[in-house]
Amino acid sequence: MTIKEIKITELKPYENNPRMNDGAVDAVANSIREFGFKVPIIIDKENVIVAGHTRLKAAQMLGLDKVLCIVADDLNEDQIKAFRLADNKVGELATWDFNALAKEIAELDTIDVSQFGFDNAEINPDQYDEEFELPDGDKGEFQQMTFTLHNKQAELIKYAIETVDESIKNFGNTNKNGNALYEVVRQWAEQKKSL
Amino acid sequence: MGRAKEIVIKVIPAKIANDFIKKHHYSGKVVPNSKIHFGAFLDNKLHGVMSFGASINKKGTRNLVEGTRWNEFIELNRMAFTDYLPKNSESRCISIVIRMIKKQAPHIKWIISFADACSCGDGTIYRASGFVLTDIRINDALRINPVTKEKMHTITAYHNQNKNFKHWERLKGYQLRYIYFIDKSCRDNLTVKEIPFSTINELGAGMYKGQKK
Repeated sequence: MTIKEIKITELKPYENNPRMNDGAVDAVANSIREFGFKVPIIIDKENVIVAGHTRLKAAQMLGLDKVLCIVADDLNEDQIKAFRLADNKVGELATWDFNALAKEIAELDTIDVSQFGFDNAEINPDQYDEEFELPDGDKGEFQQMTFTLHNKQAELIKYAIETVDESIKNFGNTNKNGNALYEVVRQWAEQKKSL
Repeated sequence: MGRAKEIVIKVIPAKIANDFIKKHHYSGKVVPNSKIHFGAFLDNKLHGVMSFGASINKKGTRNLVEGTRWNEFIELNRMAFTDYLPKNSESRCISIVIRMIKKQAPHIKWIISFADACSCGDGTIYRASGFVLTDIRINDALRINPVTKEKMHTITAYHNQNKNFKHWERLKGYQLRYIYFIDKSCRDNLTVKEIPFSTINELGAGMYKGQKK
């Protein structure tokens, strides 16, 4: 068995391929576009495809010049015929664990898996329930504020809040920096008033 | 009602809802502050998503109904359905979700939503679902990218294009604001006037599936 790069124009689809794969070509092309050509095409000694007709069509669609191929030169004619069928059939025997699948899909932040043929069929309502919670009551007593500072401004503010006495009025706030910043600003406001 | 009765509504993760919205919402965009997502399933497949969250201008929005506390209203900020769903499915889905909110978040007294009659529709579904129309305003905040033909909000264009969008064509149309009162007594506290639905056509603000009516 050898592995080599072959021009796609030199590859020959098997004339009696029993798999109808046109519906899968877009998804396979999307996968190759996203991840690269990672699964070689399996061919016989005459460059006739044993497994990988869809990958060839996808490669053609993407305008690839060469693809990685495994030459199954260790198999006889009967074995190649059988392998051509077996390779497709065994994939049909596996099924999805939809709960695990939904979890995996939910964890993907940057890649939309619908481009690989995952559609709404994989999202089964039985995986989900009807329970939810929404925040109750009035606006909380605490809030976060975000500022953008130059490094020199940030240094001075850090210095200022580090020097504040911890026994200051905090209104129940446990955030030390927030309390210190408040105290600095409070003292500044007091000074402004007395000017 | 027909097959719309068979629709099942479930709470679904943001990732699944957002992927669906990106694929099926006319804008192709999600709202980052959507916090809860409901999926509409028919024949065990996801065919609709309704996303709810806080309004961007929460302080201003809550003043629309006097006496509303901070967490007593929510915005329906994205809604998309596939054509697989039968007629009247959208209003049925909204009705089920409202029932769920009423039961599980009884502190929510009203729901606000906006219809984009610039590029989508004037809110047929909201009207069919019992929402009240409270504002029709000209929306001139959308621009069209002359190269990609993509519709983009001025703020997004400002950030994405570094001010080089000012020559882009403005997309003219209307935005309509709807409110649904879960707590019917809140309707008396509405601080703006209710607008008769007939005003939509009188102003020429009608739109259905992206086409001017």
